[in-house]
Amino acid sequence: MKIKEITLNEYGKFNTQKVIKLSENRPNLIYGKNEAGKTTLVSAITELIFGFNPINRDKHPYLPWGGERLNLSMGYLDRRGERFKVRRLLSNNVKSTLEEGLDINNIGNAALPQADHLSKNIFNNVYRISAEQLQEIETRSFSELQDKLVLNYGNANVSPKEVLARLEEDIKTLYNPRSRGNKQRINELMDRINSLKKEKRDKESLYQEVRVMAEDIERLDKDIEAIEKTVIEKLQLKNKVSRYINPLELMEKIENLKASIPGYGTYEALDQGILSRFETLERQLGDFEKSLMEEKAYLRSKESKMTVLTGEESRALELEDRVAGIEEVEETLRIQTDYLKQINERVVEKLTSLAEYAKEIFVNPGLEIPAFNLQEIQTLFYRAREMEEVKGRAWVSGIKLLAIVGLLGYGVWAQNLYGLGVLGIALILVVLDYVDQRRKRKNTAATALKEKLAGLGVQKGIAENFSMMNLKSFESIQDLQKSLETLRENKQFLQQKLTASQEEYRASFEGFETVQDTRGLGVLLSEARTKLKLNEQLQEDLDRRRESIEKLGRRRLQAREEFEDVSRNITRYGGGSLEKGKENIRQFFSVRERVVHYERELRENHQLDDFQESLGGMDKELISEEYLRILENDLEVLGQEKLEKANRRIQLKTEIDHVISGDTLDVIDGKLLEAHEQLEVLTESHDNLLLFEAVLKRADEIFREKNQPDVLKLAGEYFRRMTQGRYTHIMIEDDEKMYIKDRTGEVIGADQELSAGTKNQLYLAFRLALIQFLDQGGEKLPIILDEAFSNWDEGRLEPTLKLIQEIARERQVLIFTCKENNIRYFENYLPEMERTII
Amino acid sequence: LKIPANMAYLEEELSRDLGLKSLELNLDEVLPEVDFEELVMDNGILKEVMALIEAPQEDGKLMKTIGQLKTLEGLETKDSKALLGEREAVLKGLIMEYFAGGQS
Repeated sequence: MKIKEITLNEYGKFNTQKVIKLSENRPNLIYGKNEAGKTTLVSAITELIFGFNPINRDKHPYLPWGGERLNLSMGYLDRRGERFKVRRLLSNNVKSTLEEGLDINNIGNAALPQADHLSKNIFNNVYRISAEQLQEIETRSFSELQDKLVLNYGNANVSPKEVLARLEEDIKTLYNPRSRGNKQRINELMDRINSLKKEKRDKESLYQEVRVMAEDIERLDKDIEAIEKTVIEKLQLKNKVSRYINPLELMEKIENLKASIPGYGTYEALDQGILSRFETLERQLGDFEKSLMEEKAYLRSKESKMTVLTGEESRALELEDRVAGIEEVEETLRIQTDYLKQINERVVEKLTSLAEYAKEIFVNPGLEIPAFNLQEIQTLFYRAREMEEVKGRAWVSGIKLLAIVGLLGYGVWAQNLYGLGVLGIALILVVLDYVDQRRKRKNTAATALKEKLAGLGVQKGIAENFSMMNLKSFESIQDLQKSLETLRENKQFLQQKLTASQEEYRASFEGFETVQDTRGLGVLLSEARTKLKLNEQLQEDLDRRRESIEKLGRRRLQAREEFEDVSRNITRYGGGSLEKGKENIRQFFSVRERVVHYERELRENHQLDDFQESLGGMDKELISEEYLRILENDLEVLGQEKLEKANRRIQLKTEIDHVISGDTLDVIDGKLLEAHEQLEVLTESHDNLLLFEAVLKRADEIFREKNQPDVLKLAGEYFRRMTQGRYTHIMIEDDEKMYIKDRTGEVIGADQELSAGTKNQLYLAFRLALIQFLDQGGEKLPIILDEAFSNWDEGRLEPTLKLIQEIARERQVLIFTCKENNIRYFENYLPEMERTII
Repeated sequence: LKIPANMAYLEEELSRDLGLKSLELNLDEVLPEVDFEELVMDNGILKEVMALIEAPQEDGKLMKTIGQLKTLEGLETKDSKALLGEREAVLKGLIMEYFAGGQS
């Protein structure tokens, strides 16, 4: 198959139509820089030949960005030279057509008919030789690649040799007839089955023993049951005898006890607590006597502590309600005394002032100041002073004269009634002024004042030149005299009040010798109150004690009366002796207690009413202690016998449990069945593996016989040409390792030291031989060399490319490269090369 | 996924998508999805294996080998063709198990 033309309409980065034309007979060099789309083109060629993978458009790695489908086509020739065109479209579904002349066939997603002898995997892994694959062999030994290359077309990861090794190991893991250990699962299982079978046999033997022991246990159970039945009968009999023995004994005891007390019936009426009552009363009487003595002694002691008030304390208590009034009087006295003192001080002060004024004015100022009329002196003084002032004002008289002359002139000038009137007024004024002037010239008031003052004994100089200041002195003297008078009146009134208060105060303390004032009275009163309070408390206590003594006396009396009654009663049972009576009564109650106890036991336990009936037909002779002992002995013997048999039974049971411990026969059978089933499965697996191993070994032999020589021969030929005859043959010997022979005939192992370049040549020789082998008889599919020669040196490249050029004549060769430097070598050694740039 | 860089990339992507702090993938139980017919077609040995299973009588050496096998079930006494026909499915399963590490 030779590709003529590839058209990428929508594929990967090619979202506009890209047409690539290829030569069918010459090597095709396809050059493109990195990311130009070389890998995309290789994928397109693969999918054009073998169909889309994956067929889900959305998951397809080459769906164009923003596109909705993949669309590509390819024109090619088959080996007969017939022209074909395949179109492939992947959108919602896959649509592929194959055109051959005028025929158009829908082929779905199937591979082209020219490629149906190969799988897509083989094409990808064998027909496409990449730089990465060549790099891989540099890091691995050739033995590792050998089977992959020779037997699996370089396609599978698992070699038959590895599988056979694993198979052998797995078979050994399952079963080994010579193994003494149990590491193999089947061996282990078989051992387990044998062990289980032995366990089963042992268990069956033990089961026989168990059956015998079980029969013994059964017999023992019956014996024990019979013993228990006998024991129950004996017990019932014993209970009956015991039941009849006791009441008879009890009744006899009661009669004997009653007979031990003469006149037992006469004691029945006695109160059971009479003796204890007697003792209690006796003790109480003693206690009462003791308490009464103690109380009376206490009473006397308290009475002696009562205090008697003195006469002054009694007097103070009588005045207790008036103490506040006395204190008020005392306060009044103090205030009045203070006030009187103040008045006396003010009188002295006023008299001193008065003496000073008198000394200034009077000629002979004695103790008595003459009486004077101040109002008269004032009148005379002011009048004399006024007269003196008028005499001194002459300009007033001039004005008055001018006014009068004016009025007179107007009266004369007018010469009418009005003028006459005015003239008359002027004349009146003249007359009045004249009179006034005369009076003033005389000043009689001053004279009268002088005479008056002289009469009062006023110093002559002051009397003649009496001034306003002198008048003020007279006024002050008169004011002082009035004040002194008032003070003397107040003093007299206060003195009277004070005398009355002092009298009242003194009267309050009459009858006291030590108390002189309210403070002393307060102290005395406080003491008296304290004494009174103490006496009251003592009196209350005494009253309570007296009442208590009275109660004690009453109770003692009651107790004594009762004591005497009880004593008389007891003495009666002692034949006149109190002590004998107490002894007899004590003995009676002791006996009666036992009698009551026996009677209660009879009543409660023996149903005395039905006693005779309950005896039934039993022989009364049997109701004896001796027969009871016989029964008890029988029971003890039976109990012992039962115990022995029970112990034997437990022993047998324990032995059985011990024997049948572990798995039961059923369980062992189950385990055996399970182990057999597992063995069956494992055996079948083991045999299947053996069978598979046999078939695989045989297939491996056949494949090697059939194919290996041809592949090796052709690879050897290619290798010889690539190495220009340095190495002549490739061989695989009996040890299944690869060897190469050089031109000298020396054979060296392929794993030994080969240079990386030689390894690359050997690997490529094998791949080319495999390709030749794989499509022998069918269409020869193109070889893709993807940067395969990137690191090859020129010496190796030249013979290899010549070989490639020769191969390209019958099989299309596509060489992809992104390195411009390599183009020169390709041009040199592939002169027929067709160049395509993408 | 045998390439550590690819595993690391996948672990990183998955842990980011799932919001995990870290994630470790274990390939022990991961089996490839294999088509039996394709597996046989790609492997010359297996083609021979299948040819032998389908027609063992054409290979005397295999017949003899099977006749001499020391099987635990005593299969060596059976007719080899019938035996292989009877166990064909089992042998196909073993092919898948040993050559592909999975089931079709």
